[in-house]
Amino acid sequence: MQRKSFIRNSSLGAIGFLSQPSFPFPEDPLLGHNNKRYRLDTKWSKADVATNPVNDCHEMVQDSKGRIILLTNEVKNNVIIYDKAGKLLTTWGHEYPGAHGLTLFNENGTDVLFICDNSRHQVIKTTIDGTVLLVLDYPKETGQYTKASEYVPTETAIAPNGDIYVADGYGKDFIIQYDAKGRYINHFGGKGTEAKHLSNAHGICVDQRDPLHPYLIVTSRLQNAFKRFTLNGVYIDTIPLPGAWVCRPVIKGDYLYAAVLQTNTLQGKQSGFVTILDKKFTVVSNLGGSQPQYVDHKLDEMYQTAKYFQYPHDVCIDDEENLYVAQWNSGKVYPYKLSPVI
Amino acid sequence: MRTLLIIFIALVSCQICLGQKSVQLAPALLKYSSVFFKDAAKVEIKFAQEGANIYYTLDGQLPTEKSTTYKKPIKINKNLTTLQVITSGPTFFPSEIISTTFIKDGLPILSEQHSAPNEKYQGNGPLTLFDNEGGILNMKSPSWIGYQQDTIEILVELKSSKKVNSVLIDFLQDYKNWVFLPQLIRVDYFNADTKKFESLVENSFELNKTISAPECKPIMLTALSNIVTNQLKIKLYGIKNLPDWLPGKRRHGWIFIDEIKVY
Repeated sequence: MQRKSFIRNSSLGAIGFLSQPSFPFPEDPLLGHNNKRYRLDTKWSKADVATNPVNDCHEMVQDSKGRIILLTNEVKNNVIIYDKAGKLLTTWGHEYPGAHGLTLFNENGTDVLFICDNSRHQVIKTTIDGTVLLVLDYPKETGQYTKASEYVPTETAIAPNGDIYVADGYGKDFIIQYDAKGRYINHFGGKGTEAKHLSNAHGICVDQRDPLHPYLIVTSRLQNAFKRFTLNGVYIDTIPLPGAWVCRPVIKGDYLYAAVLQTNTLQGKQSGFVTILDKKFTVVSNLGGSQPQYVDHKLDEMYQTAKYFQYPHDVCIDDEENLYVAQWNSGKVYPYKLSPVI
Repeated sequence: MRTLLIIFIALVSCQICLGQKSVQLAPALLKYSSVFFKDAAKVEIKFAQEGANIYYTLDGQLPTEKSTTYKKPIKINKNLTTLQVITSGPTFFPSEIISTTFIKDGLPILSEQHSAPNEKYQGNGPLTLFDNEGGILNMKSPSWIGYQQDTIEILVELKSSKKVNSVLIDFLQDYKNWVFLPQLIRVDYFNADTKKFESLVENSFELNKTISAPECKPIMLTALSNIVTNQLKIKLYGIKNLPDWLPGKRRHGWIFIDEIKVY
């Protein structure tokens, strides 16, 4: 027994020595550019596929206990809660066949979740362990909808005052604003040709990096852009991301992170990557994507460079700056984890 | 024992080598203004990945690491040229091949009349089918005209009577959006002697059994012999009833065209 163990160790030592000079590429590949580089771990999730399968892994958030929460449209376990090491802690939810958007809000010290369900045409607010607190049906108050099926919400964002913004990203592309109790306030965006209009408003977040001036960032995915709006829905400007089908904007610290589902030129070809923008909305790094290049302050078209990902759908950045990537339609893979390399 | 150890080392080394190369490069980004051109097309290829090179061919051969290395924009000036590109680097598996066909302008076209397209896909004015614009995979691009009907007729009038041998039609194929090649294409030419349209060439197409990513399909129809004419009548016959295994099953298929060339 001891002898076998000795042989294994010495052979591994020899391999390391032999292989390193000719194969400098590390086992866990390094992705990204500038000060945002990461090591990829595709085997982060320790969930057992036999008992806790996933379908599309749509979105992820971290709760105030530090746990990583995944939303999948697999009704055996719509919500899977992990620790940061990838150990499955618990699961809940069987009633969200179209589970798509997952947003966490700390409501007076208590974590609550907002789930957008594409199939149910509803937004559901729950406690962190799945008790339903509020259900928002299709927004007929807007005067824009005549039946539930026209409304296919993809994402929510919660303002500091508790106002709920719902992005109808697979429906009519309106952003619908409610107060914390779910009473309709306003709607804006929608389809059209003006700058304030949206095309596949797939994601939304409240940017509070300047705490005195919070505003909304909304995805206009088919336009390969984010659009900024005031909290009462007045269009501010557009942040073009040429080539990139960006999903929701996720802000952590000074940076904005977003999954790019695929690129314009390679649609339906697993051409996704992850993009990272600094506070000035300059792309600083693409994980699995092209080195960002600006010519005359204009961003060059972006594209995938290596197939680390298929169709990234969301990113989550934890309290230690690790990044998790949830993927849609990618062979039912569990999320990947990327650790920053300093 | 020593032999076993060497074999073991070799096997594990090999596995590690494979592990090192376990990621495939993505295809490069091709940049060009249109696949259609008057005199010459310029194609720029981009691939900003450290340690990777771009290789390409223009002669129909599949590109490998032994093909021409891309260094500067490529100039294309032949009638019909297919550019095929791969990316490759020592620490990655090579990318899949990406290819685009570039199409040179044909005989000068005076005008063209076509059956009324679907109201959503009307094209970009009367020159749409011979403006050298297109080859864009997005079906919503105004370079396309789109139909969801059985028979489409296009009458092409040349600037003058010329010797004609081939007709090229650029189609979109996008199975997920129910856009297919026609089942049949027929091209007739106007015979000035008989004062009638007579058959020049025809071709039929079968559906691929696999649903592939959207692509532009330039279809060249070449007659057995040259004729002289100034008018061509092109008839496209769409798929009336999509088979069950396709998205849009039992519905009418779409046909999208963005350019016609006559040679």
